[in-house]
Amino acid sequence: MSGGSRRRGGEAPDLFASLDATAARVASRVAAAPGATPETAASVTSVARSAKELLEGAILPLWVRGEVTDFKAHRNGHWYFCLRDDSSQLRCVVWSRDNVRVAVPPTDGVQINARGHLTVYTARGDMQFTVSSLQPAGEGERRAAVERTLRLLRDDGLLALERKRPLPRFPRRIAVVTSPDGAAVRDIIAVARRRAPSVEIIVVAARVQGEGAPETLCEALASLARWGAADVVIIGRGGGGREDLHAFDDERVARALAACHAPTISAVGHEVDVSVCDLVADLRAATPSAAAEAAVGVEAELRERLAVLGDLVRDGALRRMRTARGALSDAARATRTAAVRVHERREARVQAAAGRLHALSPLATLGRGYAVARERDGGRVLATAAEVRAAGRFDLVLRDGLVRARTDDAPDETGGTA
Amino acid sequence: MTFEDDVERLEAIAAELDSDGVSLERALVLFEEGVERLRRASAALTRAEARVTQLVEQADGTFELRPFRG
Repeated sequence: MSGGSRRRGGEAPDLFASLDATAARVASRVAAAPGATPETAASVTSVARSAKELLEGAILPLWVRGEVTDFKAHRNGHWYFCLRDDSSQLRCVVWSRDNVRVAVPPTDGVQINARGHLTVYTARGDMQFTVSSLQPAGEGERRAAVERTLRLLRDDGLLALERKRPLPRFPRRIAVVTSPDGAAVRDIIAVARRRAPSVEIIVVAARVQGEGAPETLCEALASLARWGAADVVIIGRGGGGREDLHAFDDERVARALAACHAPTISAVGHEVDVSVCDLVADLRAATPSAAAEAAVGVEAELRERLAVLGDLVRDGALRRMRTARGALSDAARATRTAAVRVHERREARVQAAAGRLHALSPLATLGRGYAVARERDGGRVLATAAEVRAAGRFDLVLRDGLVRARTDDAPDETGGTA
Repeated sequence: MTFEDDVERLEAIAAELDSDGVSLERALVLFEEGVERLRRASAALTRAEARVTQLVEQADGTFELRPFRG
């Protein structure tokens, strides 16, 4: 080629020569591109990296539905499984930082919807689907069913806030409707025991998940209603996946709970999602332990309160009695004063009367030096000379005593001397 | 007559005793009732650790409280 350019020759710039040079450069570069020839074979890493860049750049995050198989929860916290349908499968991974948001790991055979993006794991050359969130397939339908149930309950007024009853302040009997084998009942017993050892706990067994759970929950509530001796009712279970809380979304369970004779606390143990029972119960507790705390007060505080009440009652009564005693002694004093006054008034009247009497009394006349003649030995007064003569012998009453006397101008009946 | 009734009644008694114009006779009746309720409520609290039982409804409609072993 260089010979050709020289053949076209001369000092002038040779367009063809330039083109030729470019062509040669391109050719050599193509020949040198990785993988173009055995000599330029590409490295595994570069291929894997190219695939990763292409794939991850080309497919946006998306939801994929499939059946879970080969589920493994690795001890490093990550989950691995395959999603498959009739003809294909996709390797999936859920990193531990993402799976903490999923309450319960999926199990083999379950249909799920997984949201994620395709990635290439270059260390293995595997394509995998990195899942950021997942839900059971049919979750949409379930939500619609819950909405329907809530609408019915709302129409019947069972979700109204005015319906919410206050919890008893001092319950003595707590009924717990839950699985007798679950963590929920253990937590509730432990918390209630610690706070109030003397409070009775009555477990009413029911299945909280799986086939027949709504029916057993309804039966337990009905049985409890017939028994009728609980002060407060806790219904619930420990944590679980949303799909495990299905029984607590059941309309029949919700209605049985609403009909409960005693105030109710739901403890369905799912912090993110609210179950239908949570909305019907008088109080929603985040966990069974929280439900027990809400249900029973601390007994020591209760004892303290009783002591204070006892003091108040005693002091109140004592104060009232002191007041009464005061009133009584006041009354006694007043009575005495009044009595004395009455007595004095009477005495004065007596003296006045005595004075008047004295003025009219013949004794007063005697006092002035007169004498009164009377028949002997206290007989009648001899007021006339004739009477005195007739009497002959008589008593003469003087100021200071009595003198026996007889008349001188009449014949002595006895013939003796006067 | 529940524990709750007793405590609430005690609160009402304390309030009435604290009010003006309660007659002595009434005060004594209230005091007597208060002492009785206080005694009962305190007894409920000093009750030995209460049982944990399981409610079992029999076929004949009667109820049994069995010891619960969780």
